[in-house]
Amino acid sequence: MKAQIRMGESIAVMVVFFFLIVIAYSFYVKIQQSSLAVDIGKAQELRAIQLAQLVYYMPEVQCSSGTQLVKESCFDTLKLEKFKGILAGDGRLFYFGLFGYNTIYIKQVYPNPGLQWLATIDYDSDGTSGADAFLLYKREPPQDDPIRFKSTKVAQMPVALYDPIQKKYAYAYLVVEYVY
Amino acid sequence: MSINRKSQMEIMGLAIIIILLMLALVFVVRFTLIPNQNAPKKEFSQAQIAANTLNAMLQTNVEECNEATIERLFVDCAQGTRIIQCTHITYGSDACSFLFGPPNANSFLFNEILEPTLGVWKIPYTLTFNDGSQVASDAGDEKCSAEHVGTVYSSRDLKEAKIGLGGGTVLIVQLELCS
Repeated sequence: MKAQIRMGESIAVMVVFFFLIVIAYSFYVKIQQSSLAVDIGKAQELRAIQLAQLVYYMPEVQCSSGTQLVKESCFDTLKLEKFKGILAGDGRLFYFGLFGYNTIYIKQVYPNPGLQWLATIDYDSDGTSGADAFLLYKREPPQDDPIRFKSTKVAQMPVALYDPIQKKYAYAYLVVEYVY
Repeated sequence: MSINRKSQMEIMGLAIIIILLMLALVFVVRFTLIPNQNAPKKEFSQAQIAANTLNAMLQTNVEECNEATIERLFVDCAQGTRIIQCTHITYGSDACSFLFGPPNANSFLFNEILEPTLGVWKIPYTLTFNDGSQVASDAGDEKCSAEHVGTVYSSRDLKEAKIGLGGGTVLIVQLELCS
C-alpha cells in the first residue's frame, strides 16, 4: 500500500514535471516564432531601403551639370521621363531583375504639384501611387501565388526634382513600396 | 540507509529546481538584456534621411520669394540684408520670418518642407540655424536633442550643411533626427 502511494507520488511528480516542460517548450516556440517574424520584417525593411538607395544613386536619373557628373540628392525630371519610357520598353526585362515586383514613385511636396510648376514632368492622377505622384515603375506580383507577396514595406527618401529647362528645383521624396 | 537515500533524492530535486531556474534566467537574459542587433540598420537609414533632407531642401527654389533657393534665404537671414522679399499671406516677408516664423508659430520650413515629410513619417526632428537662434522642430512634446537621448529617444542623428559666405565665414544648418 505504502509502495503504491509512493509510486503514485512519483508518477504525479513526473506528470507535473513533463507538463512544465511542455509549457516551457511551447513558450519558447512562440517566442522564437515572433522573433523570427520580427527578423523577417526587419530584413525586408532593409531590402526596401537597399532598393530605395539603388534608385536614389542611379546615374540614369541623377542630376548632372557641366563637369559635375553627379549632383547629390537630386533627380533630373527630363531623365526621369526618359527613364520611365525605357522601363516600360526596351529596358523592361533588364530593370525587372533590379526592381522586381515593386512600385517606385516620386511625390512632390513643394511647390504643390497641382500647380504644374515643373513643366517637364507629368504626374499620374490614377491614384495608384497617390494623387499627383510621378509613377516611375510598377510591376504587380502574380495573382496565382497566394503564399508570397502579402506584405509591403515602404522606404522613403527626400530628393530635389530639377527641371533643366526652367532651371528650377522642387522638393520631393522618393517612395519604394517593397512587396514580399 | 533509508534516511540517506531520502536526503539524496531531496538533493536531486533541489538540483533539478536550480537547473530549471538557471534555464529561466538564461531566457530572461537572452530576451531582455541583449540589445537589439538591428539598430544600426535603422540608424543608417535615418542618417541618410537627415543628409538627403538637408541636401534636397537647400537646393529647392521658393516660388513666393522670387524663386530664390532655400540656401539663399538662409544666407539672407543670417546676414540680415533683407534683399529677398517674400510674398505669402501666412508667412513673413523677410527671409528669417518666412523660413522660421515667430516663436511657436507655423513657418514655411515647418509647414511646407519638414512636416509633409519627416512629420508624416513620424520622425522627431529639430532644424537649427544661426547658433540655435532659429529653430524649426516637430510638434511633439519633447524636442529632438542630445539631452533627451536615453530618456525620451533611443538614438539621434545629426547632420550639418555648411554654407560659405566668403571671407572665411561659414553658416551651419543642423538637422537632428531622433527615434
